[in-house]
Amino acid sequence: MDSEQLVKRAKKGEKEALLTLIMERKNEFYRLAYVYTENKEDAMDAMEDMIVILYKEISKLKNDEVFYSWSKTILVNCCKSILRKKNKVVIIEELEEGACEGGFEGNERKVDILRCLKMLSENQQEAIKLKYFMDLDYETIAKLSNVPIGTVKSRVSNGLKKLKEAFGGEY
Amino acid sequence: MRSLEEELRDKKLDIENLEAPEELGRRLSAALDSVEETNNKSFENIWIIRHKIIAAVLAFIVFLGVYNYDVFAYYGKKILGYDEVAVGSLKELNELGKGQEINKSYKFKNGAEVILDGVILDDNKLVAMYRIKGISEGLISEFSVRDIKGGLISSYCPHGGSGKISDDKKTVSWVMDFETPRAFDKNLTFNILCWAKGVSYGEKGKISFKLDRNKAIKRMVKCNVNQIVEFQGIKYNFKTLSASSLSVMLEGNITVNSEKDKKLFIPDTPSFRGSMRTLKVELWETYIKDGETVTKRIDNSGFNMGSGIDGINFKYEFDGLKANLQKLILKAVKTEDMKEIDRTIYVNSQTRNVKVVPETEELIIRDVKEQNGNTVVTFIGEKDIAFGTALDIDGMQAKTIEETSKIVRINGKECLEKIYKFEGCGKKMSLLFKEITHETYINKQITIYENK
Repeated sequence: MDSEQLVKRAKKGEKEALLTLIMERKNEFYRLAYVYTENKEDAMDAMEDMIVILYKEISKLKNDEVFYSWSKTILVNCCKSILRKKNKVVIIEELEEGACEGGFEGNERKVDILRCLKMLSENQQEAIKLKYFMDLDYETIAKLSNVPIGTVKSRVSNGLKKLKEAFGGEY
Repeated sequence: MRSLEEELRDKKLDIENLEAPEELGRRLSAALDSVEETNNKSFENIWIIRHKIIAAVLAFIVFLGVYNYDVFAYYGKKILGYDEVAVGSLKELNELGKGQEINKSYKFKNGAEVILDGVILDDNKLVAMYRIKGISEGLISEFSVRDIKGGLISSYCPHGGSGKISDDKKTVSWVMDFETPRAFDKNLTFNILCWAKGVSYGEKGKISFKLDRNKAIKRMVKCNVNQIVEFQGIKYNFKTLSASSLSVMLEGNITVNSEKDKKLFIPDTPSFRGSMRTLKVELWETYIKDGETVTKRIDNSGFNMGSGIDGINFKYEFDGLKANLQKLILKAVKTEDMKEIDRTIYVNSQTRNVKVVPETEELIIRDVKEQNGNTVVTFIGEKDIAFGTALDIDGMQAKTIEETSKIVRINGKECLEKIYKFEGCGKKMSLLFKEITHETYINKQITIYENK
């Protein structure tokens, strides 16, 4: 059965159809969630939250063709909600001074890029992760982040500049 | 020399190689099962309104059906192999051989087999007893029961259940609760989905059976409770109770005065996380056994809450009633505000006065001490708080030796002092917290039924 039919069935309240839609692209969804949450459990929690919202809201979806992009926007919001909650209650690990220094030059030692990205603002991190880890275009990132394309471009550019300045490596 | 670009590209490759965990399908399925079927139900309601004549005819059939299964009790064969999975009333009823034997199966392409051994039905639920057989534990764990389908539009979802894997790890036996099929649904199909990688990934197993309502468990009490317990400006309206020797279902709603109060019960956060208020109730039965009057609390087996037209609807499910019932009393015990905190705090013998919930004095780790090779942690919290914790020592969860609590007075204020004693100690220790709960006692009771 194609996606369009599955969306129609899901709109009628068929849980199985909705589950099939998500499971057909489970890796895409999981990777997106993982890029935000950076761990398996939170990524799956976010997907659980997403599927519950999708089930409750799918009857309001006017254009069936945009099911997947709509779902991913909801997933991103679920990830952010989980992160917000965690940040409220978990002591955020401070980035040790010099943790990334020398990471991009002088040797072949790999640095933890996720850790280094923490020095950027949340918006810049999001834009860079979606662009470079998920290989998404500016338009898609803009839709997922709910900001204009220009804003995404400047977030990416400023974020990269900041990273480059901090580490003095090649870019 | 590695460039920033290379680092980003490497991470991209890492992400591209990520695969969704195998349990994802099961978790999403369970998350969906936890949601009320809003869309489906409204669709069905519309259908029924549009077909008034059919509905009237069906109502007559429903009446006949209900009449039949109230009168007859069935004594049949015990469904074997569920002694360790079935508990409480279900176990007792199965011992007595009540219920309907089905004994039908479906074989998946990968060789796994699902056998629906039997069902037990009352007004409140249908319990399916089934087994999944396969070559390994990994295989038999990769199934999720979807629903039981009735006629064209009827679908009955699983509410929850328990399973047990056999010693040889090749069979898992389940008892699973479903909504009670409507009276006109007799031809049912049990649907189960396979998520195991390989030829049967996504394959749906179907087992059709005819529901014999004469074998349903007899209703013992069905009444309108219509009693309200008001507490802190919130009205808990207990509306109906339906009980048999299999289960008791108590339904009602909560009336709140503001959106803020509503969010206490139905938070914005979907699924299972966040904070939530629940009302804890107890159901007590008095019955006569061997000439003696016995009063006992009935085990609570489930709770469900959701938004409705006239407020917040709730359902409490309890184990079944004993024979010779004399009295049923409902106690509204307390409200519990559960807050998920999901926090790990690193501790050592120098740890003093650390807030478990940042920026609040709700719960504080007063100190951590080493005592004869064990670790003793003292907490001070608000008087109404309830919580649990676990100590991780060098990556292993330590055994809890002792857990004591008492009310102490600090600066004129009554506080909870709770002391945990854990086995062992170490340099790298962390305390894990999942949730904390604030409890407020109500202690009001309602007599629901009395045999005068």
